[in-house]
Amino acid sequence: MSLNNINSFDPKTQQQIRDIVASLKVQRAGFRHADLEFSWPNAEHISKGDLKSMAGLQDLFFTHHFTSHRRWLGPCIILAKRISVGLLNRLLKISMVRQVELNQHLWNLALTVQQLEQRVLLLEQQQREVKVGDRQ
Amino acid sequence: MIANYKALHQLLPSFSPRDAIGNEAVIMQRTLRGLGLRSEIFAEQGEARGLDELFSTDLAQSALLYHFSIASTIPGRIAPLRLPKLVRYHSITPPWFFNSQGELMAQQACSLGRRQIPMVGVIADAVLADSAHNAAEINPYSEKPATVMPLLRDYESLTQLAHRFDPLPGSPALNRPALLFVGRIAPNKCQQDLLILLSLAQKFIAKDLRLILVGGFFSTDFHRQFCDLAAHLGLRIGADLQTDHGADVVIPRDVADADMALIYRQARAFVSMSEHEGFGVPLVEAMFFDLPILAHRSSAVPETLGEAGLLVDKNDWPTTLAALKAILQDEELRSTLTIAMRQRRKALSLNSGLQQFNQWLNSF
Repeated sequence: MSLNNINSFDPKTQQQIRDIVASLKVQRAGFRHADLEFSWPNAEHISKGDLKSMAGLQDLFFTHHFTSHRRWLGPCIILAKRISVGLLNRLLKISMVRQVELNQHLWNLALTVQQLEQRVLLLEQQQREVKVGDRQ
Repeated sequence: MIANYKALHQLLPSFSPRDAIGNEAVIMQRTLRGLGLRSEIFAEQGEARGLDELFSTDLAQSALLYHFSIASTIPGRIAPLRLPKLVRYHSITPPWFFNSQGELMAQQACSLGRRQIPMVGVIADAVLADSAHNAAEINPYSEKPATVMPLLRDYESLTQLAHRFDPLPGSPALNRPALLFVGRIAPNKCQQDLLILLSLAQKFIAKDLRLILVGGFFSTDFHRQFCDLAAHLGLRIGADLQTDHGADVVIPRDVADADMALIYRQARAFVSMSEHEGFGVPLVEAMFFDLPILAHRSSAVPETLGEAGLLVDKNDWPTTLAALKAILQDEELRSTLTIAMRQRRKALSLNSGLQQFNQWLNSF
């Protein structure tokens, strides 16, 4: 409901209120990071810097895949924390053609890196077989 | 179409029938069983069947409904299942609210939970969000936009409960006009700002105003900071609503539903300075008790409130105080707000919610 019809305090009282709150600045600041007022970034206009701060990644490998396929952003962040850049890139390459399988297998956080590598090998092999089959 | 399935099971990280999400799961279970479906509640923790039991259950012609509100292993565990996965997204508190040593666990759980949003969005076949605010968080990752449906809750029962009990025996404490806020006493709910509001209100509006906070403290760190600020402002904290008439801030313990209803009836205004609400159940409860609301314009609060309350910006204290004064003293405004609240609560009632839920079930 609009505040238009609310009678405000006189200017002197308003200033008094502001002064009181300002005097509490130190006490208020203790409650949370001062001025940390950012909103959760939308994947559509997310920056590399945002990504790093979101995931706390030091070695985030940023490729065109992240921006052109924003649906992959989250899983990639999760995976990138645990696997090498090389393996991540192989995953992304497979993801272009085998999204369904990746959905089924790779977002299981319980998978170990070794299991992930085995899955990637399997999927790459299947991909090669499909291509050979196509040519025949 | 839900008619094509024999079972729809619900999954939660933790389950308690008394909290808002657990309560909704129970209502949904009742509804689903009423439709002739098998419906069980599985949870990693709490008073439900253990999550492991899901994997030994016959899941033929089943669908799953995951209540997503915090990090858990559930998305990773259900991702490989070849079953329709429905997600009820309740929002996750941003981790940056929790920054003290004692809040690290919560910070981690919220941080990981928010990092799971993309994954959950992608594995979901359909998403049901409590609010448009929540939907906007998960929509970038899901195939189809989330359907918005307010949290299912039987608010009417709570109001009827109040009428079954006589008001608390009269005491000087209850004669003091009270501002009320209901919710866990936590950094994101910003009860510290309610202390400041009370202190200003006692000075500029009415000396005998008091604040009732219903909810437990989230962390010992926050408790200490809260008490320090109260002491700095000269506000005395008490725990007994009926007898401690000298306390400016009353934080009653172990509030049963019947007590809660009486407190809603007793209060003069509901005030919220919360900076993150995925929906805001207590706002709606206040509406069902015709209790005028003054709230900080943040997260899902404006859409839950609609026209049924006054919204203010956090750092505009003179306006906030003027709005509070009007809510407390302007009977015409209180009547206008009551009419608006009665109108708004129709859309948030359990009957309305169940109709939406049934429509949604038949849409996927």
